[in-house]
Amino acid sequence: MTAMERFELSPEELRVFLQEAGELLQLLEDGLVRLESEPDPRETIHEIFRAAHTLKGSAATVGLSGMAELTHVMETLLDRLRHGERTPDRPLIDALLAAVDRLRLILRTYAETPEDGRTVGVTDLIERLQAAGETTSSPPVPVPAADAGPTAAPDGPALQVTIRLDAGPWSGVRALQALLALEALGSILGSRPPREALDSGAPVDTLTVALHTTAPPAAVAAALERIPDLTIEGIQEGPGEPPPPAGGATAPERAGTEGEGAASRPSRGPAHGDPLAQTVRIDVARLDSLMALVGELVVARNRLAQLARQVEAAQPGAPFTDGLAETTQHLERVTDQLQDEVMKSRLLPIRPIFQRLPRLVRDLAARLGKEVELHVSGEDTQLDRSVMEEIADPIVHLVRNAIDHGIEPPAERIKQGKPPAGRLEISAGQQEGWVVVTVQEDGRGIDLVRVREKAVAAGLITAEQAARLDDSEAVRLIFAPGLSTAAAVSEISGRGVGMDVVRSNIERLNGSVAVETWPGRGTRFTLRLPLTLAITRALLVRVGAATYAIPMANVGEAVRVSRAEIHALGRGEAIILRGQTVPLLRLDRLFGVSPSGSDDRALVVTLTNGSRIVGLVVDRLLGTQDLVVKPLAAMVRHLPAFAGATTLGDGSVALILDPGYLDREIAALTQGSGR
Amino acid sequence: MSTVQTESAPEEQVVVFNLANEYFGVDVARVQEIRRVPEITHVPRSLPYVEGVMNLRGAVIPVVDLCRRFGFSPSARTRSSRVVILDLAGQTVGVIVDAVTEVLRIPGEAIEPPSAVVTAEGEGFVRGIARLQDRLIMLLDLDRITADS
Repeated sequence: MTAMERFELSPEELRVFLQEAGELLQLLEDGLVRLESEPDPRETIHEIFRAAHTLKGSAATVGLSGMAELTHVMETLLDRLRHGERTPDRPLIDALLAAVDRLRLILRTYAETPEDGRTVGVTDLIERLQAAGETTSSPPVPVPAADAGPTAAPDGPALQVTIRLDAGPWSGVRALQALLALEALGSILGSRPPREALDSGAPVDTLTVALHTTAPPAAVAAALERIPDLTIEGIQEGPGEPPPPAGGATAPERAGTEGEGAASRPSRGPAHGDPLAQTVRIDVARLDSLMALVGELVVARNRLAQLARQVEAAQPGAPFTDGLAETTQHLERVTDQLQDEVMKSRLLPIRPIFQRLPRLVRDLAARLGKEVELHVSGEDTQLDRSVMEEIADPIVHLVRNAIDHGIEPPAERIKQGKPPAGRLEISAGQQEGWVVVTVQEDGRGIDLVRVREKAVAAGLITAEQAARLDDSEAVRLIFAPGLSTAAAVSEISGRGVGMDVVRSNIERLNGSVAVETWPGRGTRFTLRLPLTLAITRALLVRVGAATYAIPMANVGEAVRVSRAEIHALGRGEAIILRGQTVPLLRLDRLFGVSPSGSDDRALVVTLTNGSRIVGLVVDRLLGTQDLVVKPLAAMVRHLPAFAGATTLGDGSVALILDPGYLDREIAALTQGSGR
Repeated sequence: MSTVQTESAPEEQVVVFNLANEYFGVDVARVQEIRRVPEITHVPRSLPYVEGVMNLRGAVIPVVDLCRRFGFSPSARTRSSRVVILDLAGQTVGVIVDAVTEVLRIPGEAIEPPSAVVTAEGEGFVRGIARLQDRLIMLLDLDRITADS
């Protein structure tokens, strides 16, 4: 195999390389940000040094010489930190973080077009790193200009690879194939059973190989995965000597410390170590269809339970009803558990999103001349992967917002008797089937007078309306499109595009966003997100002959009001609930369904919806239920009123209301008089 | 008596249904199934000819009222009313008909293009007309049904 051939990665190898390199960069970035605040950074320095070293090896194996050069310089610099020849000060860390950014750029470019990835320049950063390294008294260490060769690493890691072979006539041949594949990646220090034994073709059940290679474990795994009938038990950095006589996966002392490093990383795919041999990778599409099937099962179960109750009601004490009830209950329990398990299998920790925050906060604070102390908690909170994909941007936006608009500059904070550094707390946790993410700071709070002025200036409300709004209503104006309260439009938080996007993103997920603010003391944003998108808990309501479902995320409470308590508001109506004006929407009129029964009393369900509370007049509450959300067909999808449909226990279809749509309808009604 | 036949116009196999006392045919390959009319959920603010949505083994599909689509006066639901589940360009759609009468093989030479016999309302939806002994069967161009006019 020539060097050039080795650079041609299969799509699978490319994926593994990119994933691994991405994780290493994350590790580097996290560590560098941590360095600034840690009293004893030795452990961290060691960790990032290893990350840089591994990255260098990976880059060299795929022929990314720029990346290899840059990581080599980083590694050299980190090595000096490690030996106490240089202390990690701000300029040095800035330079190292800039290098991480460049490495990311190389990776991204390489992912698109490998050729282009090899042309991204690194000279400027190498110079910057070298300059940063020289600013202390210790003499500069000469740095080799280029380094990419696989032999460059003085202590090129030795890997211990353990492979289990499926029983059968092929096992000996497969073992030999594995050995040959490993040989192509480096040099084999020894194996058990030894090569000579394999040549005979005798059956083998476990093969342990000590391999000297610069290829990352992922590349080794990728090479082995191409061989059928075998399972990779473990690939570990081990001592550079032939494997010990005992078979199976052994973990020498050194591997133990490596394991610790890996544990702090995000969860990863293929087999690298011990406990992962128990996991399988599964296609997301398969999980999706499994989820859909469980949804069907839930509906069928609901239907069966309903039938069982009908049978019991029609013929109390009839034969078999006891057995039927018992079986139905059992089925309910099992289905619940199954639904739970399938949902869990789709969950991922929110960690990758939170991991991006320390760097973001550091850079923003530096750029805006602010001091920020970041506290992150609940990184292990789990979310459905479909939800995860959608919430990264809103969270990042809220964090930007907190630093840009919330936290004051240090001088101002000191004047107010606060510590110079603002405290930014980001947490995630589970509450009753919801994931709650909060972003809270102890800054200046939202200036509600200004918000009102802005809203009037932007034509969102009239001056009288603004005056009538209480504070909790006024603060929700920040979610209205086209409203920005920044004194000067800053490049950080954008130009009034933002909070409304946050809100609509969250609502699209059937979640909700709330804001609380305390003048001079800070602001808290709370995001409530469903654990999964496929199944949602909803309140079923009856309006005329129709049944509608309202996502529970938005449901506040249900109240009965008399006719006298309903006031006119614009072209619409409203009630006063605990001193707050709640505009009403009558679904029967809006949808032209047959009008509801009595006009004397009305049943109102309040919906909280980020920007306001609205009341929905309904005939009857039918209770809450877990619903499988089904998309509407193209023929009816253009309707803004509905977020989807669902099938109920009796086989009928209920439409799921889109709270955002109701909100807009109400806004149109109640502002009718104002304009 | 001989089996000699010109194959210029291919034979068609169609599902024939009755709507407002006229006969319509749809290509049998496009018909997924025929069901009794289930409970249909009205969808407020949808197109006038969309009757609503129905539950087809867990999937929620739209149901079209063909009378309204073709501009006929609506006919009452009876015991013989059916929903014909059609595959329209990958979209599953139900259409309500007064009755499904039969599945017919229609020889190609019995089919005339619509220009020969112009129907007032169904124009554009009809791709051909089959003349069989005592009656005319209008062959529908199904993809026009979902296309917005």
